[in-house]
Amino acid sequence: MSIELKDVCHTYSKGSTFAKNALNNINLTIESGDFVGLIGHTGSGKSTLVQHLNALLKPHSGHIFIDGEDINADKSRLKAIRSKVGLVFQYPEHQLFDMTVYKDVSFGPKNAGLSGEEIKERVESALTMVGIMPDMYEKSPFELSGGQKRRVAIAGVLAMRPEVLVLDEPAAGLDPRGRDEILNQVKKMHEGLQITVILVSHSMEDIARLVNRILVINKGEIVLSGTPTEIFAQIEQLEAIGLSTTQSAYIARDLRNKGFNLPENIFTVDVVVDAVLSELQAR
Amino acid sequence: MEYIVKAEQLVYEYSPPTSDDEKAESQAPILALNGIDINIKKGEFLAILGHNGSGKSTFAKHINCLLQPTSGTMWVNGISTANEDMVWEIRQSVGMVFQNPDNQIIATIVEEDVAFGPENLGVPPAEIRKRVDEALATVGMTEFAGNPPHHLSGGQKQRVAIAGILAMRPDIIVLDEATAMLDPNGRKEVMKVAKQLNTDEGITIVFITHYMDEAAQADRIIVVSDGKIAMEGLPSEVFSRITELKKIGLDVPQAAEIAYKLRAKGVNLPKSIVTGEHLVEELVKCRLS
Repeated sequence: MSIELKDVCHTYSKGSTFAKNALNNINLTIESGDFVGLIGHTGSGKSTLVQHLNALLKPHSGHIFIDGEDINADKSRLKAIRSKVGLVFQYPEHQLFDMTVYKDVSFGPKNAGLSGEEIKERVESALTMVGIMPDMYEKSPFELSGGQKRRVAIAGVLAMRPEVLVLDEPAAGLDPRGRDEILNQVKKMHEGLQITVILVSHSMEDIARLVNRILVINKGEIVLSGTPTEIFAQIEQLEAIGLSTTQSAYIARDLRNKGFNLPENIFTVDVVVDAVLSELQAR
Repeated sequence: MEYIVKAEQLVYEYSPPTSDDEKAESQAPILALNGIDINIKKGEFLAILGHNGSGKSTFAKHINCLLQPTSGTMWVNGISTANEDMVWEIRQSVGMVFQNPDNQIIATIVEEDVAFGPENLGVPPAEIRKRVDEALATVGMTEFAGNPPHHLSGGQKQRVAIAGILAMRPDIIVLDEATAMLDPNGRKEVMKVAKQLNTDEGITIVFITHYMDEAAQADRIIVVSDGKIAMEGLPSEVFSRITELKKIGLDVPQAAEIAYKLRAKGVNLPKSIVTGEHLVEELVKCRLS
């Protein structure tokens, strides 16, 4: 499913003295099946932008098209659109509420008026997708570990079978293993379900190893857009807007400054290791 | 050697929460701490690493009497935390900063929040004024003294929380995943303030974190796993044990990982590499030789 934003503007507290331009003429296209990383420092407009994608916020001017349909044109279509675009907020485990894991995940499909058979099928496949096994279905979601809770919360969104999945900092506050589990599951979902994924993250290391395209947002504008290779090579531009690149990319840059013959666009551990090895062997 | 915190065979046990249909006695108690010995030197910057549920926060909460050991003893400044008469004394010397910046600010104006601690200690007003001004200056938040806290960034809120502790003149500050909810700039701000308090004011810092690059800046690292100490040493020592760390669900800074992988391919690099600068320096030497 493709997403297109045309001249989208959004102003908070519009008309008051506290008016703040959160989004400023955003134009972008996300192709069906893309895995997009959205980066920008706090207050850059990332969350405002993703909340426009399923009409939680409406643009003050401009249009948002999902599969060619203007999502704010017809109010009666909102429900259908929201079920296509699944939004996982920061700390989604705070939204868990039901007595058991199974009931919590079935809340969405139940409200969508699906049959008992269909609900069961969706809940089980969503929980399997996030790696929650049947022996946990009847547990209270509040007994689970932080990483497990978060995966149950994500399953609740997946059970709605979205075609676009937006995740806002899904790994925030987790330990390294919990972080890898969640992100590896997201990668698997992207490949297995062939859905479009938009990942908001502060971790350049995570973005670097997952996405195929990066959007950089600053002061409500998209300032850079391209493949990880293109974006992470632009260290100065990223730093100028309060961002950084990966530690591996910094190491490669410092080695280049010391006369190492390394490519400009390397930013992951394994690629840097290989490049350094061939440089050392070349001598 | 003077130890400001000394934990001897610390054990902390609790019963798991039970639902109605389960009998409490059918559940084995959970050992959050399983006989831990930790000595922290005065003026040290100690990082504690461990996966979620490893027991690191449980340990931290023993330092200022939020939890009492099931067995074993925790000494702070030579006083046992089991001594009920000394609880307030200990809490005054050990400040805690928690994970969520929004859960620890209570006043509607930044400087009032910082004044809350000393006010409760019965410090005279003129002295409170002085302490609040000094504390805000130390964490670089003077210009926000009269602002409402809800407009501050996460990193700024954590600095206000630290100022509130400073105003109580503590010997130790425990930061329990205080950077977990912050963006990269906020994390840097908090780390910078913690290091500055350690170097300039001689305050002992216990820094609990999931970020390996932060732990790499400490004097010493303790790795906790399943309620026990799994590793202990200089950052360069701990981060050279990359396979063991990954096994218990932790990670190493990318510089240490690159060095490890290059060593595995026969490049002659010391095991002590933790930072990017050190790695670059050693690789330059390699190329010359």
